[in-house]
Amino acid sequence: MQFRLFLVSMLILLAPQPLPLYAHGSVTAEDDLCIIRIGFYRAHFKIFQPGSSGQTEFCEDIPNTGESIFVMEYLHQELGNVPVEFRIIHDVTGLGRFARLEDVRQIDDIDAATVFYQAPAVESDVFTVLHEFEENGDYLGIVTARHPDRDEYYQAVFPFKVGFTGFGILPLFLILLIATQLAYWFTSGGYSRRKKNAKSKTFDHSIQAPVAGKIMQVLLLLPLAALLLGASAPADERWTSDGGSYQVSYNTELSPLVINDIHQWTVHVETTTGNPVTDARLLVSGGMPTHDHGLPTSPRVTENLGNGDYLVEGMRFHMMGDWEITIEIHQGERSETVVIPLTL
Amino acid sequence: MKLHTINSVRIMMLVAATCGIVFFWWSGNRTPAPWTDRESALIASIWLGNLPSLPPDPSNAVADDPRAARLGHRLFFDTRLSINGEIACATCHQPTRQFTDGLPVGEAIDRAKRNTPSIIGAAYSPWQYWDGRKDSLWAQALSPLEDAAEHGGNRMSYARLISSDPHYQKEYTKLFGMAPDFSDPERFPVNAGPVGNPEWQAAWDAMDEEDRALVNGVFANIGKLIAAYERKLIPGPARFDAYAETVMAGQGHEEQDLFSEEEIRGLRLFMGEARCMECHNGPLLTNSEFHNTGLLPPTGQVPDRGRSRIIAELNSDPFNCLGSFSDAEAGQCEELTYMRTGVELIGAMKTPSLRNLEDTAPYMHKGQFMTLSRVLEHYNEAPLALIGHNEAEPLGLNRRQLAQIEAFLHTLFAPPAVEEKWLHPPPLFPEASASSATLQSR
Repeated sequence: MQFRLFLVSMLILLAPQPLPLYAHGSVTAEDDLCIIRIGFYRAHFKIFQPGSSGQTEFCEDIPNTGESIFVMEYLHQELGNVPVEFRIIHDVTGLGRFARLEDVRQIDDIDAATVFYQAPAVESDVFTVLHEFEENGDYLGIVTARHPDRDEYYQAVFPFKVGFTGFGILPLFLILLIATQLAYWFTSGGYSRRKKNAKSKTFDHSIQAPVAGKIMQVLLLLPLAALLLGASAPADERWTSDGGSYQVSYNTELSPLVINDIHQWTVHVETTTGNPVTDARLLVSGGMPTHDHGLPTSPRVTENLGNGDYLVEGMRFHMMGDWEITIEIHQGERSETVVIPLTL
Repeated sequence: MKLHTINSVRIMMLVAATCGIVFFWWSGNRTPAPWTDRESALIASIWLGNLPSLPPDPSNAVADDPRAARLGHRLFFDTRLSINGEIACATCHQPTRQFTDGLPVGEAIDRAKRNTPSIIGAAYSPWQYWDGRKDSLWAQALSPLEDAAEHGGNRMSYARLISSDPHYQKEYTKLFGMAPDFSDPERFPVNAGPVGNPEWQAAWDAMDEEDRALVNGVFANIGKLIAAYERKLIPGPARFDAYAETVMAGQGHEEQDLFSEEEIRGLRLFMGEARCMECHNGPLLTNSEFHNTGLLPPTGQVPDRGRSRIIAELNSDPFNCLGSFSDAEAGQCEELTYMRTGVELIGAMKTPSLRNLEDTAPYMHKGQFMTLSRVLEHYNEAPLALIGHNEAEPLGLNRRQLAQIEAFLHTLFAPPAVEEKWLHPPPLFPEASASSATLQSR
């Protein structure tokens, strides 16, 4: 009940704000991302005003005049191969938020209305332009991209305001929200419940503390043990693929494994019955699951050494911690994956 | 009697308050806990004594030839390697400032695009430049010579300098054999090169393929000579390294007088909570890898795309490890061959070493921050990246902790472990020409 009330207040609060929720034109909000669609292309769209708003991201409307950086991070790889053109014009259509591509096509002298123009440019992954707005007002952004093969062009139009009215009633709303929440909490007996909870919590703690301490100790000792032992894989350690058909083991040129040194692995693949798999194609990748990034190199199998052994070149680790090496095993129609965890 | 009781109560309260304050002060300053085995191992991992010997550069046959280092030393300080005769490598890479210039971005003929990095220890990195767009010291050394904002010249004129200056010609011949004769103006124009000035480009395009290769060969060798000199620039042991030795010898905090408690706490944060060692690891305090850390561009500039922008360029660079001017076999170019690509590299720049912070401000790729405390605040905050994804996460450290990390960082500073002669312009040529004399007067 309390949560629902909170949710409703949040929705009311967010509605008048220039957030992705309120995007329009060719820019839409998807999964909390501001997305621009140019024909079948998609890009993550954002505007920054580093001078006045630091690293705050805007989807379309921007609060101030002055230096503004428009960013399109390509979500469609083809976009990285075609010229992309970017233009900002005064909203001479007078349609504001309802301006569409058709309206823009009817403008006679687009150059006269243009305040910023970036000639077609091919950028591999991200497109950035900088424009310094001199005055508040309604503007239209127009992005043009060519079809990858044909001589066809796609366009996206997004209306936006420069210098929107600031936070408006936001502070008032916040006070109201907090007051409502507090009033609700007190009247529904939240205070007395909290008192009770606080008591029972301290009680729980006194029992769990020693156990938790033990667990913490063990957790702290694990990486220590790993560090002391080094990351050298015991030669006979094997990992089974997700489909259960293969067993994989490896040997490294560097033993123990250390960071910042490029080296080779020999990966051995066999069936669960111990027969070497000599005709597989292996794809090697890896990363740090807790860091959300991959290996600093792109290792590859460069030689089938026979007897189920494959030479993997270009292995390197650039951080200490927990890593996972993922090996995809392709054999005929079958493909399975094995994940080898290791700690450096 | 009553008055006496009140007084003693007052005195007791005063004593209690004093004890409280003293206890508070003591608890904040008491000797830090001893290092755990894990922490000791991490300390050893960044100790300079664990720096391996200089990795060979198979792409540069003269990398470790002392004659090449001597000649490279001379070239490094030679202002004739510029369009106006005033700029040498040492103009921005100043030996007195750990081979940096104290400016946000380099300033030579014009203003360069990025902050001048230190060269000390650079020979250990597989990649040069902030975005790693060169895969060897020698390939890197060539680029500024033709950059309009830096030395502003062209490879034709540089190659001619080698073949016409008597000293250079003599020493060059000992290493690479006789330099080609570039005196025929029909085949070799005064100025020519494939980048920058359109007239020079046109002149370059008009040259014969073989003649261009001759010029490129001498030009590449200039880079290899400068690289041989730069390989001499190795960091020296700092106060931290002496402290690390006491830790490895098993001494407790109380027995050593090298590190203050502030510095010990800073080191602990550096290895743990502050997560610095995820990237600043190994004895050089860098993994030489590329990371997006969400820095704002300077006013009036779009965000720098960093590593992701240069991958294609690096692959097609005629001076890379696999190119025809490299002395390496294909199998010796592992870093280039197994180079990664992808969106993780958008806005990513190379982790710099932390062994020279005292003299290398302003910091970051555009010199965004004047002080270390600003750098630490930035990492503590880990703001949203304008392009790509900031790999760092907010740390939630307090000001005192940030100051402790900063105190620790200062213990990493040391002058380079370099023979004194390499830090000064070389003595006059035996057969000093007029132009080299002007060089010396600088």
